Parts: sequence; C-alpha cells; structure tokens
Amino acid sequence: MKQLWLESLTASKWFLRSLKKGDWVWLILAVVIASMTVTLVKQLGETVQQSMLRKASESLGADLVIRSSRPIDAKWKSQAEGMGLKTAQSTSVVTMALSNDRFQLVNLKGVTDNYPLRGEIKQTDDLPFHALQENRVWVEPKLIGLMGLTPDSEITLGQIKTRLAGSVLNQQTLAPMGGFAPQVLIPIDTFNQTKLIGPGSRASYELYVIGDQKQIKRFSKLLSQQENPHWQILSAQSPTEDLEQSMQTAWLFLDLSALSAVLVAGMSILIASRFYLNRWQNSMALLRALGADNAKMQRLFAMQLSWIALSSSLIGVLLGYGLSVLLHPLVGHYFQPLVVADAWPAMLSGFISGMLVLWSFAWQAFQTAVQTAPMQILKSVPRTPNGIHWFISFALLLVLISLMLGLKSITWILLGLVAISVALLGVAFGLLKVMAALQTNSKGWFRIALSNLLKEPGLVKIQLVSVGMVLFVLMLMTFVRQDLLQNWQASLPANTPNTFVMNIQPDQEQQVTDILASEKLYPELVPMARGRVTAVNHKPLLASEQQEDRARRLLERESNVAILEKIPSHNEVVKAIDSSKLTLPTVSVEEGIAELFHIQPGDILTFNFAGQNFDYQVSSLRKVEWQSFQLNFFFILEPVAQRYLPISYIGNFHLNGTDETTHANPVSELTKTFAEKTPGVLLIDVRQIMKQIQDIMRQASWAVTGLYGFTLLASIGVLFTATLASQQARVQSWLLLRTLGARTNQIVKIGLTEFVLLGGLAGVLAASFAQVASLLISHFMLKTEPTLNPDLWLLSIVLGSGLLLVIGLLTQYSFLRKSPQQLKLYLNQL
Amino acid sequence: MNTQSPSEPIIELQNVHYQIPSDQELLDIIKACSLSVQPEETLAIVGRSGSGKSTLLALMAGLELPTGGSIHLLGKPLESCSEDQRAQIRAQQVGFIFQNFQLMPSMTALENILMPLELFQIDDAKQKAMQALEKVGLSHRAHHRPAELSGGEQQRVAIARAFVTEPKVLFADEPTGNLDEETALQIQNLLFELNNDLKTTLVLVTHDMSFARKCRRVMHLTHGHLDEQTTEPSDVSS
Repeated sequence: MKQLWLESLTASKWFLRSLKKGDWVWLILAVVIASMTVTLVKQLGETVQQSMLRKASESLGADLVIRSSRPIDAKWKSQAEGMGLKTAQSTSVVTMALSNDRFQLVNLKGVTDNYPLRGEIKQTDDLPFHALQENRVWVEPKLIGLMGLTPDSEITLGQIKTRLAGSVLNQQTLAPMGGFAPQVLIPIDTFNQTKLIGPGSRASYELYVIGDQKQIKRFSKLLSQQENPHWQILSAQSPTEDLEQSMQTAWLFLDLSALSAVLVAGMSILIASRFYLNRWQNSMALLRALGADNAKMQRLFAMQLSWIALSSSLIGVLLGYGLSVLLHPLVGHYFQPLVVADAWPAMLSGFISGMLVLWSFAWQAFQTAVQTAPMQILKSVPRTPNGIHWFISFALLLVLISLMLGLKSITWILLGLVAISVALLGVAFGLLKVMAALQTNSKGWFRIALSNLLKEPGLVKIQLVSVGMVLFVLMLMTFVRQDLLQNWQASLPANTPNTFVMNIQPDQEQQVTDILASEKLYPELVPMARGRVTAVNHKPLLASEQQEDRARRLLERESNVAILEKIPSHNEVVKAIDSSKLTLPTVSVEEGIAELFHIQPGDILTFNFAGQNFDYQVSSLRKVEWQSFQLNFFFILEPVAQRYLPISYIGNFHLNGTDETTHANPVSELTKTFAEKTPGVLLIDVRQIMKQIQDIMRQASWAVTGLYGFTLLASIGVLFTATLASQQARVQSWLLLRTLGARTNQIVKIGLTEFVLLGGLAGVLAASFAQVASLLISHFMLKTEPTLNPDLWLLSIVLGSGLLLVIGLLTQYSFLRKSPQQLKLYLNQL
Repeated sequence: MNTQSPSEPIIELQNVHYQIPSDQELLDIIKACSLSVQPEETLAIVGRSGSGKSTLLALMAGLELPTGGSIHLLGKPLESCSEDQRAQIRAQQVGFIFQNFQLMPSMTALENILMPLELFQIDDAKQKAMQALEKVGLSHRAHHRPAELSGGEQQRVAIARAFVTEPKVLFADEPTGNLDEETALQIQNLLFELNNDLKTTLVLVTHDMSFARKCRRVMHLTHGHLDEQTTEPSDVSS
C-alpha cells in the first residue's frame, strides 16, 4: 500500500512536471473537447427536452393524464400523491347547452380548483372575468357568438342553471376530443349537480398528474401494467403518436451529435497518442534499462494517463457547464418556458466520457509503450501487435457509446462499428495502394508530396480514417438534419387543410356542399362508417391478447372506415395482390396497421358496423403520411350496393384565420350556419393543434441546427489538433527538403499538396460511408425515403480538400517558411 | 540480494550464443562467447560496425537473453531470471551510458538525474542529484533542458545519471561516439575518474581503440567471436 502511495506521488510529480512543459497538450485538448461537448450537448439537450416537454405538458394540462371512459378508482389518486406527485381531476361530457332559446353542443368539463396543473387559464376580453365558483362557468370565446351570450346570460346545463364567469381559451389542444365542441368549464361539484352523467352517458374522466420526471415514469409504468381497457394514458413524452416519432428523432439527433463530437475527439487522441508513442517508448526503454519492472511501469504510466483523463475531463466538464449557462439566455429566447435541467447528470456523462475516450483511444499506444523491450534502448525492436488490446479498446469504446446512446442499441452499434472500422481501414489501405502506384508514375514536386505522404503509411491510415470520420460525421449529420427538417416541413405545407367537417348524414351532403361552396370551399366529402375490425382470416382479434398499446386501443375503439372506389392520390400503395385472385369485396389497409396485426394482401378481415359483421378481402397495403393533415384512413372499403353501412360524410379544407379588419372568425361563422341549417354536422378546427405541433417542431429544428453548428466547430477544432499533433514527421520532411536546397515556393507547394491530397482522399472515404449510412439511417431509424445523392461525392471531395488546405495553410505556413536552422531547433525542442 | 562472494567474477559468460531469425534461417550474431569480468575491472569490447558489440552488451546487462549458453550477472544466472527479476538486478546494481545520451527531452538536466532516484523512491533524491551534477561540473546547468546543452554536456548529464545510483557495474555503449575528439577525451577522463572513485566495474563498447586501451582489458568481437587482447593499464584507468 505504501509502495503504491509512493508510486502515485512519483507519477503525480512526473505528470505535473510534464504538464508544466506542455508535454501532454494535444491529449489534454482532445479530452477537454470531448468532455466539454458531451456536457454541453447533454445539458442543453436535456434542457431543450425538458422545455419542450413542459410546453407539451402545458398543452396537456399535466405531465401525465389518465383518460378513462369509467370513473377512475380513487386509489390511483392516492397512489400518485403517495409518490409525491400532484393531482387534479376532471369529468367531461358532450352535452347540449341552452341559452337565449338556442341549443348548442358543448364539451362540458367539470374541474377541480387546481386545474390545470401545467400552464394557466388564459382569459380573453370577451366577458368580464371572475374566479370559477359554484354555478358559474367559463366558456370558450366561440360559444359567445354561437349562442349570442352576454355577461348576464344564463346557461342551462342538465338540471342546473349557471351564469358566466368569463371566457377562456381552450389550451388543451393536444388532447383528443379537445376541439370537437366549444368547451365549458365548471367546478366539479357543480358539474355533479347537473346530473348529466347517467347510465350509458359517454363521459370522460381524467386524472391529471405532475411532478418529478422519474416518479412520473414510475407511475406511468405502473398504470401501463394495469392493462385497463377503459384507460388511455396521455403523457407529455408522447402527446400524439406522430409527434412522438418526430420527437424521438430529434432526441436521436441530439445524442448522435454528442457522440460524433466524442468520436472525432477520439480520433484526435489516436493521432496524438501515436505522436507521443515514440517519446513514451524511449522513456520506457530507458526506465526499463534502468531497472524498472513491467508492472511498475504500467502503474506509473497508467497513473499519469489517469491524471490527464481526470484533469482534462474536469476542465471539459466545467467549460461545458459554463458554456451552457452562457447559452441559457439564447436558448430561452427559443424555448418558452425554459426549464433548465439539473446539471449533474450531464456533468457526470461528460466526465465519464472524457475518461473513457482517452483510455479507449490511447489504449493501443499505452500498451505498446508499456510493453517496450529494454533492449530498445540500444536498437530498434520490431513490435508484435496484440489483438487483445484492440479488443479492450473496442470494449471501452462500446461502453462509451452505450453510455451516450443507451444500452438498447448496443448490438447494432457493435456490428456497425466493426463493419465501419474494417471497411474504413480496408478503403484506406486501397487508397494508399493507389497513391503508391501514382507516385511511381509521377515526377517533380508532386512525386515528393506523394512520397512524403506515404513515408509513414500507418500515420496516413490513421489520418485518413480520422479526417474521413470527421467528414463522414458531418455529412451524416447533414443528412439526418436535412431529413428531419424536410420531413417536418414537408408534413405541413402552407395550405395544409386545417378544418374538418364531419358527421354529415347522407341527406345533408348536398346542403353542406352548398354551404361550403358559398364560402368558396370545395372539399371532397368522403363517405365513411364508424366500425372496428374484429377478426383476421376468421380468427378473432382480442384487445386483451395484444402486446402493443396501439393495437389494444385500435381494437377497443371504433375508427373511421372510408368507402371509396379509388385509393386517394396522397396514399401510396406499397403492396398489392392481383384483383383476379380476390373473391370478396376488397379493403385497402394502412401498412402500419397491417404490420401490427400481421395482415397481408389476400387476408380476410371481418368488420363490425353497428352490430353487423361483414367480410372484406385485403387488396393492398398503403403508406399514409399521418402528419399531413389530409383525410387519411386505416381502412378503405370498396363500395358494395348490397351492404347497408351506417354512412356519414367527412371532408377537410383550409380556412384562413380571423379577419383582421372585421374580427370575423370564419370557423365561428360556419359553425353557426351548420348548427342552424344542418344540425349535428360538426366542424373541427385543428389550427391550434397545428400551431402547437409547428411550435414544437420549430423548437426541435432550432436545437438540431444549433447542435449541428457546434459539432461542426468542434470537429474542425479537432482536425487542427490532429494536424499539429502529427507535426514532427512533417517538419522533418521540410528540414530535409530545405537542406537539399528546396526553395520556399517548392516547399509550400509540396507541403500544401499533401494536405489537399489527404483531404480529397478522406473526402472520397467519407462520401462513400456517409452515403451508405444515410441510406441505412433513413430506412431503419428515421423511417423516411432513402435518396441517393451524387452531388455528395463532389461536395465531399471539395470540402475535404478545401478544409485540409485551410487547416494546412493556418498550421503549416510559418513552418514552411522557416530556415533549416529554425526547423532543427523546433525538432530539438520536441 | 547479492549472492556473489568477493572472489567471484561480477560478470560471467559461458559459451553464449545469440541468434535472430532472418527470412527463413537463423542468423548467428554471437557465437560461443565465454568471458569473465572481475569486480572493479575495466573491460572494452571493440569491433567493426555490425559485429554485435551492442548485442553482447545487452546480453551482459540482461536486456536480452541469449539463445544458448549462460550468463551470470552479479552471481545470478540471467537465463533463469524473469524479466522483472533482471530489471531488479539492473535497478539495484547496474548503470548505463549510451551513445545518443538518452536524456528525456522535456526534462531538465536535474530532472533527468532525479528520474532513477524517483523511480525507486530513494531518499534525499534532489540532494543526491545535485551532487552528481556537481561531480560532472554542470551544477550551473541544472535547469536547462537537453536541447539547450551541447553534446558533451548532455553526455555529462547521462554520466551523472548513471553514477547517481552508485551501481556496481556500468555499461557504456559508444559513450563518445557522437562527440568531437576534444570533448570525447574530456568525457573519457570523466568516466574513468568517476569509475575509479566509485570502484565500479566498467564494460565499455567502442570502436575507438585509443579509448579502449584505457581499459585494463580489451576484447575484439569479430564475426560473433570474442578474442582477448590484454593491454597495459593507461595513466587514466586503474
């Protein structure tokens, strides 16, 4: 023990001594960049994520909501409160309200006085505002116009008469059912007095929960385990299924950007440690000759490297945290409300990443150094590569990656890394062969530049792989970012339909068409029926047997089933069967649903419409863009004359916002017209939902763009350090050329050609891998359409050469103009 | 622990062979060499470039093991010692001087001398290192780095580092090979002075015959064979 203590003192002394002389500078810089990036990206990412979740929570009124078609057992409220969570409750029912002899369908919602738990009630100026109390209601502004309400109006709701306490905006737009009918809020005790809930009432009961995210997750898991068929669990994590997918992609991008910065820093460590290796080996050989045993050398050296890892990680973490604090005002500008995440997890991640990145990338050099034979002090001894060290390096790298991306994806990462490493090395080897062939067939300064580059093939391979990796990562991020942004933006073009008209009975179809035409709106009204699928190939589909929530929900609820001759043009048929092989009326199925229930073309589906069963045979599977706000359906049935289905019509169109001069709200006007002329027809305004989704996506786009820029800067920084870390070999070449009488312009030409060649070759390497990776990521992770990009190759080569040329100019210019004496002095000082 | 008695040779080689693989055959570097070095003796091994002098030195110092025969250093059979046991022998009783000095470029002269003392946690390290520097006449250059010293000064530092642990045997591999004639002579004198003072056994590898003749014994290494040639002690060697 004492021995170990004394050794650690010696190692610390040597470390400090070397530190003072700037010996470890490149390693330190690389580790600092890695841990700083991880801390910053994790901290900002978590802050952005929590801020976005808070925004989604505000739209939901809570972090988590249980919505049930039956009263929610009081034990769940107690359970949540027992876990330190806050709760609120509401009960909603769609009912008729009466005022001034006008009837109007409203969504009456009885709420506890602490509702909403997230966000706040936003009052409008339409009515004098008072607190909600017994026999008082808050109404949505559009109801004022629909029912001709005044501050003194009385509204009859069930068995009680209520008075107005103000008008408030309906915030909870992300929750389903929110926009069906104008909302009326009432204290929950008064709600109970309405006696509107009776047997057969279609009421909805909600339990709202907020609190610590970990407890929310625990509570959510507990609820999921109940598999209660009457429940629907809504969380800010996944307010809607479509949005959840987009947000998951954004989180993936955040993690990818941090990981790429770490890998790039790792490459820099690889180059720097190779640069230090000769020096380390000389020291090791000397110390071994002086009598230090192998174990002692391992300990002393490991302690020094650990000091580097510890101190640099700490500096990186502090810098990363400091930067994140500095960036808070900027982030706050885009994310309202800004929820600053607890910094410790990000700092811990940054610290561990710094430690791991040094050890995994410097492990090879460390092992080679500590295995140095004492004989090497007298003459060079060939190294015998040891496979186990590669394995250890690789294992450490895997730990690092799983720390960043989670353990779930470890198998894919493992396979991906092996494939990429082998392929990168293989391609680098091939490129070197090409350069060697080129060297024999070239002459003059170009030949010297090539021979300089090929002088240390090992170093060039590492440089090629690391520069290639930097470019690859940048391109990959460019693709992912483009895919993300395109995917989000394409889903919501300017004239996206924002209003739905539904529940149109067949005898109302013409009248509705006329009303809409008078407003210059000409939507196609699609016939549909409410029904559910009950069997596949006559085998019953039971909700209780389904593993996935989505499958259970689909079987428990009726869905809109379209009845159309043709599949809409905005749907893409991905799989179809020859119609001559079909014996029954046909149905086209959305591919996600088909996957969920293992449905194939040719299968027979049994549907239940209002108690009647009908069989249909699957003719095709369709791809549907759910985020497009087009009319989309899980099932499209072929019209059959003999089958009498409970048909109604649905349509959608784009409606402009409130007129700025007349303050006329087109939705209110249309709703009023429909209520008067075609009772029962519902107009659903999804503009607010779209605005919420667009806000969240805009925030995510901003986060992605910001992090992309940061990673770009970090990567270029790393390229600089990697270039300077391999400076010794280059300066030796300049010295030799100078000694042989080369002129400055010749040396500049030779020197910069090396950089341009290296950048161009790395560009080729990067482009090929980026292309393959983007195809894979698009297909498997982002679920978007993969595209081939021929411009990428040119861009990558130009970018690689250009970037390296700039780096070469900036880092080499002074060296290229130095005299032999100055160059010698520089080498002596290394 | 030293198992050697005063009358025993400090280094003993018996029928030592050393081969290295080259292409598909084995190349003989050292062939059937036998040699005995007594305590405090000075021995020079001379030979042409590539004759295997440095390899023989490495074998004697336990930096490498012979492929045949046996070597005893300070009474211990090196071929039956592990790498770490051989390291321990070197740590306790062996010093080295090299042709290219082998100083740590980022360390000052003082720090270079301190290194072996710190490595083995020897008490009063700094004081001993300063004394060693004074002995080689470089106390005024204690805080200079190797790049700021001349070749002769660098070798002085290397000599100070070799003697600071007071070794029983000193191996010197072409210690003046990189120096001009005058500086080389100064280094030779310094080496023999210190050797004489500290009663160290010196094994010197050189191709400089005038330097070699300062040793009590000179041996020629030719095509892997050792031939002995005894010389009269010069005015410098003991």
